[in-house]
Amino acid sequence: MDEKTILLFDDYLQGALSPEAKKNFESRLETESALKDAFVIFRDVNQHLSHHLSEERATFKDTLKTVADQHLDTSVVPKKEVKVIRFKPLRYLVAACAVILFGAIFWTQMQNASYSDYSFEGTIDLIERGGDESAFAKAEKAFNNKRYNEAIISFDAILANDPDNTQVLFYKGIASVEIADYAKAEHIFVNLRNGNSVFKYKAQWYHALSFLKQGDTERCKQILEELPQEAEDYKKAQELLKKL
Amino acid sequence: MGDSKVHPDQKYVQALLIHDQKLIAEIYTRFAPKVIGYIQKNSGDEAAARDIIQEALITLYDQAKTKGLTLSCPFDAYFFLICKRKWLNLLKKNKPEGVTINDEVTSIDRNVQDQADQTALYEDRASLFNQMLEQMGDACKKLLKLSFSIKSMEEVAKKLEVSYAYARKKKSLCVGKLTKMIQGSARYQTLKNL
Repeated sequence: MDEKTILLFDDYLQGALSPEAKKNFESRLETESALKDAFVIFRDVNQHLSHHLSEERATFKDTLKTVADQHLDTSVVPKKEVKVIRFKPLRYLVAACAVILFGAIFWTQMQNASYSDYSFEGTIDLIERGGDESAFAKAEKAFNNKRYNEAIISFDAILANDPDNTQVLFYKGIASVEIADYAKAEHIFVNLRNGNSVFKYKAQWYHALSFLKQGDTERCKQILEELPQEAEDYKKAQELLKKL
Repeated sequence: MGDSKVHPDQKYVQALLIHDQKLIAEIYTRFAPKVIGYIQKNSGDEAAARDIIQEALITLYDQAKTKGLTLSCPFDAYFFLICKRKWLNLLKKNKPEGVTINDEVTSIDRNVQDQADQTALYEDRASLFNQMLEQMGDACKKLLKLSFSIKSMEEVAKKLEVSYAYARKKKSLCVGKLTKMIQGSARYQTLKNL
């Protein structure tokens, strides 16, 4: 298969051939089996690559992950270790006193909701979509160890090649809130909320939380009220609204 | 499709195609437990089952998207057979000396088997394409990955700092090269009749 044949295949698939050339090519496909064989692979490779590397396929994988998280017990978030505490009466007495003391001091503040009650828990697990593999690994590690500045550098490295990676954008948004870079977080969350990815409502929830962290309860409430019922965080949002 | 009718469970294939979260959730609640049970009985755990289920659903999605997938048998049996085969392949790969399978002997419908065979062939072919792509030289690999993920060749050209005409031509030639590599591989010859 020479260069001329390859370009002919491509022009045919792009619909760039004249009607006459097209007819001529189709009749050649019928008679020349080697040509047909090569053409079928060429066509399938094009089809395969444009599907395999598509944004849509990546979104589908995100969707599956979300659904699996909701419907299977094996969520990616590691279960917290259960600590066994032996019964020691004196310790209990001390602990009880401490609780009462703290309770007395903070009982008014206990009514308030704070960002840390709702901030991101657990670990992230990024879906690699080509590009620099080490950036994915670095980003995951830094984020999971709460080194958010470092995580953002790696997120940016991934986004340089894949600016529409909604999963990475979403986590970058959360990391930005953590380091109090609210302007950056705002920009990311607004874009995600306007998009159609699986992170649409998640972004809305964290957008609200970023205002909670800044002490802007009004904006926080306003965004929470707009969160639709089908959102995963709807219940939490209602609970938070009550506290606010 | 020739002689066989479209099964009503085609709705699940359709759900994958349009990313219908509600129906995909139904796949998880209705069909996943059987797969999980099987894998747990055969030296696996729920986390392993989760991966297998995910992989199987992605394969079905890929097949439906690129080649079309028309179910002529119940989704349940077809999906279970695909997951089961995937799991057994994985076990064999990790324990080549042989594994004991706890299988209740059930007769599998011919139709279900044919449909699952077709999916397996599709998957082999797709994995061959991916494998050959990875074996290409860096320049072609990079250009192809960019061209097919960004779609706009103008943008690709800008990114690679080459002219549009050059990027387009080079992309076609790289696909041509990949075609030749696939055609020349021994594995392709056995898969040829898909």
